[in-house]
Amino acid sequence: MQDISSKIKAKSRRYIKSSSFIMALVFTILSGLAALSFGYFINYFTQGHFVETTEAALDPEIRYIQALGDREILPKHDGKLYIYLDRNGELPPYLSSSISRLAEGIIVFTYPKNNLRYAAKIHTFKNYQTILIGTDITSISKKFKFMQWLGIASICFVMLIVFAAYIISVFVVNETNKIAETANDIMKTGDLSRRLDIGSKWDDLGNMASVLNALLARIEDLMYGVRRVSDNIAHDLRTPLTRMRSKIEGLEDSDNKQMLLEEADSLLNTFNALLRISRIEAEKQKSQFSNLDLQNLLQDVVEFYEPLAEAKNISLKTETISAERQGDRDLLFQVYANLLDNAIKFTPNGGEINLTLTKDKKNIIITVRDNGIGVSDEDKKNIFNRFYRATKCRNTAGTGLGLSLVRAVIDLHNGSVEVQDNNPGTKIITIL
Amino acid sequence: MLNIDKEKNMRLLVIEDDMEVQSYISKGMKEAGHVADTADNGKDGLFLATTEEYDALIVDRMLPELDGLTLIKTIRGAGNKTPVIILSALGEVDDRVKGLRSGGDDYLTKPFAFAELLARIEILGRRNNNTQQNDNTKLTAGDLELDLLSRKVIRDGKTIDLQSREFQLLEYMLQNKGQVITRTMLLEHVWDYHFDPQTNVIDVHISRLRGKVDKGFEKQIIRTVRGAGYIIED
Repeated sequence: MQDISSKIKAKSRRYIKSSSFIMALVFTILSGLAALSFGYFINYFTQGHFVETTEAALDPEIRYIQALGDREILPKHDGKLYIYLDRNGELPPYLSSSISRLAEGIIVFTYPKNNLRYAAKIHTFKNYQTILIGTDITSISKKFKFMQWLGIASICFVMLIVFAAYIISVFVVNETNKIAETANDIMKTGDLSRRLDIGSKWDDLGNMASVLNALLARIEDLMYGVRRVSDNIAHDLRTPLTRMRSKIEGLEDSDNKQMLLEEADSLLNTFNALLRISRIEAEKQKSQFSNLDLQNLLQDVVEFYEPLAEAKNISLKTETISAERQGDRDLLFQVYANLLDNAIKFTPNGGEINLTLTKDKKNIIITVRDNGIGVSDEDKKNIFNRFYRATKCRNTAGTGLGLSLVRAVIDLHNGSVEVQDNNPGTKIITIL
Repeated sequence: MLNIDKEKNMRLLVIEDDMEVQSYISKGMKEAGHVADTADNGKDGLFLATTEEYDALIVDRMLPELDGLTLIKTIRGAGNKTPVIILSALGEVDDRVKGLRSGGDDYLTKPFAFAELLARIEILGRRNNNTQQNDNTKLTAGDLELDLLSRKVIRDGKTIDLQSREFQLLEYMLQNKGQVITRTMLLEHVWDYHFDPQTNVIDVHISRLRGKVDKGFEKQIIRTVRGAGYIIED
């Protein structure tokens, strides 16, 4: 249940965050308001005008009849209607079926004898004789009806616009989201051979998708080139280095030879580590991924480094639980080997290192804590950069690539890594 | 420095297009008492490998005419089971997996120390010749005895208490008694992870093992071979 509601939430958030959707929404609300006020105005004014016109036609007629007094001689004016009512002022039954009230004291009906619409007022003479005085409003009524229809039509029209705007914005949001999702997938998996779906060819989004596809094709081409070049560099540089190393090996045994060999090896190690990081970052290779229990992996790492910690009298404590996920076991082993190696290197004799594995709903959190020399705030920013060496450890052995590799591998697993103070010491948190 | 036992002489074929590397390998192999034929391209290499009998092949991955992996697949397809070690400048795990999948028995990334190649080729060649040691449930070296069934180690009548990883270390070295075992070989076979230990942790593990196995004895069973690794001898 929670899952579904959170999905819906995520979906609605996606719409709320979309600029085109918000624009369509604002546009819709504004045009809706405009249409409503327009319709209201038309209605209000035509109705008022209608009443005024009717009264203007009836009132002089009533005054005229009043002036005539009770003489019961009715004038014959065009389009006028006079009907005597009985003493109670009740309307004749043939009228009452079509009667409606227009305003205070004015009624509207269809006169069955000629099928015309009349607006009428009822006048009572001094002798209590009641008369209904009507005026033909067929033509004004038609105009009024027309205006009313116009109002309704404009509201319907705006509703159509609202509907169209909704459809368009949903379409735009969906299309852009699709593009964003595919792009995100490509970034995550590093699979540059994938392309965006081109939904339609005529619109700007389809156009954008095909341009992005061309861009992807270009990147893929370049990446392929880079891979080829880096493979060639690896081959072309390692071969002469191998030669150099073998020539040194062929020398007669001496301290110099050992020193040269060590120099050559450290050069090669740096070179290999650099190539390795570049390849992990560039290729996002997941072919070696398998299901593994990180608890076992950490136990292996700890078991491997334990004698080293023991030699420095460092207590190495672990607190782990079973945590399965997909991953590259060799690379992950390398990550925690690098972290433990660093921790042991920078923790003084008799120190303490803690390695913990915890889980929350989504993530596996592995933390390596030591009470060693710690990392300054300045160094925290750069510590994952290639060849960066913290000021405090310039003199210790190392290539400055260990943590870069850590980050590259953690990135490959869509995780994150962070350095914090452990007061004293360092805390490195990796989230997978 | 390394024990040269005439009975262990192997006949090798080195297929490598870089002449320097090729002569360095064949020269080194000759010094170690082996015989090495050479080929500098894939076609010639394939011809030699299929027409002559060898104890092991050393094949570069990138070769002119016919690349190394295709060559290996071809001879494997023809039923030739000669052990092959692949040399390559491509050292990533997936490259290694691809190499081993195509039929290679071992994979060595360039540049390598000659001692590493020699140690690996001698183990491969020997594994091909005799496999009877695998049937033994007891491995011995001098007065030390390791029982694979009861998982006990006894030296000079006394039981030695070993942790499981130490036991595995000793077992692997005893299985390859008389052969030089390099540090990377220990990592790959005992720990089963392909990674680069930044510090020489392996040495610490070995010295711990030595502390239990050799301490107090005049004869040291585990010997260090300078610039190469370790060896266990009777």
